[in-house]
Amino acid sequence: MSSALYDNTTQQIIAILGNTNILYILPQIILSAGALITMIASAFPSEKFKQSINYYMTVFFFAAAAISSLYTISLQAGNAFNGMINSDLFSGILNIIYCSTGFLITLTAHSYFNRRGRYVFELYPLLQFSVAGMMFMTMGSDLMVIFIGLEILSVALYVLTGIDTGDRRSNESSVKYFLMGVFASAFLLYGIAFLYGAAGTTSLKGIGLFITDKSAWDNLYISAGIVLFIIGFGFKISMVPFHMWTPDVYEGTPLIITVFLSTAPKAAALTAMIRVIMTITPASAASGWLPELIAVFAVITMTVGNLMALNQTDIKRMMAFSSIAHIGYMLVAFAVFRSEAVSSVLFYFGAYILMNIGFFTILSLAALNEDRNLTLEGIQGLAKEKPLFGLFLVIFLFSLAGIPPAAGFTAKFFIFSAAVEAKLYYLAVIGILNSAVSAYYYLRILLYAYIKDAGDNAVSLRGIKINAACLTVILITGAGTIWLGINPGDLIELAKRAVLSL
Amino acid sequence: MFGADFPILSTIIFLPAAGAVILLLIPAVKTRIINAITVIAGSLSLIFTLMMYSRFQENITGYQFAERYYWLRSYGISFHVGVDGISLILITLSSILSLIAVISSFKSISTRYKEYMIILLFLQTGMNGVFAAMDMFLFFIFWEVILIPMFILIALWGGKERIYASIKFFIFTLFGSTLMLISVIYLAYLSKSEFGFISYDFTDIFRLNIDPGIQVVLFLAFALSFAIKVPLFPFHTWLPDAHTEAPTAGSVILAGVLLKMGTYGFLRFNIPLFPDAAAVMAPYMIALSIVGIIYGALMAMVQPDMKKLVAYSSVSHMGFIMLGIFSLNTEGMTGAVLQMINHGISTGMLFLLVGMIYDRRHTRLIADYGGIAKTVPVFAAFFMIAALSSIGLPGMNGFIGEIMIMTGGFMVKPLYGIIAAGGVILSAVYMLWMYQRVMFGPVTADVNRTIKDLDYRERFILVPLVILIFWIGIYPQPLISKYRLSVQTVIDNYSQQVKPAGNNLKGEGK
Repeated sequence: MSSALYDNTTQQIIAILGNTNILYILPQIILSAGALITMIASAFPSEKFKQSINYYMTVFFFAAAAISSLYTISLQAGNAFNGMINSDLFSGILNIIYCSTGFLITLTAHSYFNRRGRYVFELYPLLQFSVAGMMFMTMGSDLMVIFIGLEILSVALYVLTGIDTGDRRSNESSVKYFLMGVFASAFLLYGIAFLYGAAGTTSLKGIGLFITDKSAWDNLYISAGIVLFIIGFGFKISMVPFHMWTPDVYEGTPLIITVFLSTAPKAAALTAMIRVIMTITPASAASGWLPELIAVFAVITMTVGNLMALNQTDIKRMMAFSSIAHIGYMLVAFAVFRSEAVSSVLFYFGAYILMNIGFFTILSLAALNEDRNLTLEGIQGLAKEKPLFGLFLVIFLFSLAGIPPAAGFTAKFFIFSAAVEAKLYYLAVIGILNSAVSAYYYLRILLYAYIKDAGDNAVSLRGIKINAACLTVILITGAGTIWLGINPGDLIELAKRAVLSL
Repeated sequence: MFGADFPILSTIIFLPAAGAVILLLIPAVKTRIINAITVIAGSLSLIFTLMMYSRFQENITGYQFAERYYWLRSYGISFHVGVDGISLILITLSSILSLIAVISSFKSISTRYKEYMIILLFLQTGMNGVFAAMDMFLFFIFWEVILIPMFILIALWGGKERIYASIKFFIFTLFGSTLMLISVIYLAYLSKSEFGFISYDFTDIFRLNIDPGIQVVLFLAFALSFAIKVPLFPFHTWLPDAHTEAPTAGSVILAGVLLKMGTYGFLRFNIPLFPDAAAVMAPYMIALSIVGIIYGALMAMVQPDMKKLVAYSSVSHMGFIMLGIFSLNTEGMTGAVLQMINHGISTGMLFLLVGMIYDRRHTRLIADYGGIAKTVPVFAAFFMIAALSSIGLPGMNGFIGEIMIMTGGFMVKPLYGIIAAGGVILSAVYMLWMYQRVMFGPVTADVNRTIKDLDYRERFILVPLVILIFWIGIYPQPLISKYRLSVQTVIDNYSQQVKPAGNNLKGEGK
């Protein structure tokens, strides 16, 4: 290369790099690097070694990513990559939540898959890729970046659901999830295309400006785009009536993947959806058709989720419907359509992820025979052998049901407060009645775990050696659940500051 | 050291919970240490309660021993506790009954002893918290927190149908309190629009000006939750199952204290906050109470199971208390509050006694007994005292409360007083008939000849209750004077706010 061309290119590169503020995506860089490195581990011949080394490295990388998310919060809020990435307190908190979720899940995954007899070293790079994708979704301020993040997350999840290649149910759930997911992405892309066609740009700010400046809220393309966008994301968060894949997929995949599916991707998708919708809609839309549409979705999601869960005997299916119901509660806060209400969504995710991971970790200690024994009959007498886990089971189940002094109650309280403040009384009443209904199936699990004597096909925790990692996870999540129940002030104040930018 | 600055109320509330946390660390086999710690926690709590009781000043209105700490400032929620006369004596009742319940369980529980004691201690914290709360959010939290230990108590240590009973109890009560939560939040935001700041605190909420139409809706929402707890007919169906299937200590606490939480709620919230609605709804509430009195008594008459009989008698007695409350006059309400304490003592004692005989013979069916007064005379004597107290024989505590309630009911409408008196007669019928079948007559089953009489521990816990029965029955004035002013405040506030036009201090629109 001639020196002039070389200088020109360098200058261009420096110009681009200088505008990138690449430090904002430091967590994603760490996780991508970690994923690549753990993929390289497949070069080692020994299966056991592959798995262990990946396990330890992944734990390290998730911790590092969480710390770097803290670092990005400490930097000033700002844009990166010419306005494609937006880093602020909102995305920072969510990034920490995702990394912590990955961290906790990795801790339990190792022993779970050991007991299951599968060597799944691919699990770890896939987890890291999916979390990286989630972080892009949350930080993206351009529809393309959000879509790319969503696709990274989704592809990783398609493979993750089928991670246990020897189990036919796992394969089946992977195929189901893949087909539904691709379909959903098609809807999403169509919606984005409409929005782009109307506004001429895919940047969120640009679309928002277009709608306010040109009073384009009544524009057919805008409305259609937003509805399609909601449908596309609705698949991801298992909003009714786009939830059909959820029970089957949750039931088929290995338990650890079920935990992951029900926690972090839901958070990423819902918060991305909320951020996008609230950024591009003008203030006048708050009394229009959009909040009512979301309210309708919220009501049917809650109700269907709770009512269907009442009849399930398989615990993973029950928890699938329970997660649908919880998403319904959060949609109530979304239907309020004010920035302050979104703080309750953030808090709810924090609480929900903690109690979900805790509950599933206790279950994972008992899962045998490819999770086939995780039915109500199968867990009879679970808590008899190990009273400590019985105590934590009580904490998590009462938190899921929304009983004080656990985090689940304060989370629901904040959501319904937001609804009452906005005078959406019917939403609050339906929500709280649903919450009372849900207590039944959570209590039923508790009763089966404590009361019924262990039958023939029942599991007992007696022989299980609890490894330190699972114990740590249970302790962390249990303490967190109680802490958030007694002292929610810190987190909710933080969340309130975070949503000021919406 | 325990001067005016000492946070005595928080200590009373949280001391049992602290004891429970300590118990978590103790290995389950050391029964003696578990007993010791539980009794110490309960006794310390009782000592502090009695200290508070003696220091309570009867002549001033308002809340005493109040403490307030910041909790969730941006939502207007604070940890605010305080007592007035009514909550004072209810907390005293709860402390006494909790300690007695703990001591009564020493020999009756064989499995999971440590967890049982932990549950009883947490239960005590919850109960004390409900009565002491001065912040609506705090009240709601303690209200719901009680459900967890009670559910576990029935489910793990209960009788044959315990799973059905515990779930029914839990879901029923939870369902009732859900609408209350929404109403509480609504009131908080109402205060925001009226005063400019959001607050869940009693001192702010009670100053609110609520539109009469909305008052009725909120009254009903709160009333649903309390009516299920009391229980008011027709929301009483959970009670017979829960009481029968619960272990003895659970029944004692359930009947002795938990039911009073419902009536306390009516006194504390429904009437002061929604006076217009209370005036409108009072006839219906009285009607339901009277139905409850008669229905409970009639159902009690035909029960073959002693515990279920006492459970239905509770329905009947709580009907009396509700009648007293909604007669909305001083006599009725004073009698109702007194009867809350009386019912706690007498029904608590009845459940204890039934539990004691069950420990010996493992049956509660009346048909399995007969003529056991000869074999267990001490037990029979205590049982007689409890039964007469429950009926309301003059000289015992029940009489004072019932006569005041009947007077109050009579002043509203003579028919009410007459029916209430009829309820007293019916209670004599079922109680004495049961007593006769169990205690008197020939000994029908040989196994009944060798029952052991009460040992020292059991007599030890029954004697204080007997003393209270006769003390309140003969000289109730010290007790009544503690809360008389608080009840008077409720009546005064009510009559001020409800007077049509004219003297309407709140300026509510015509």
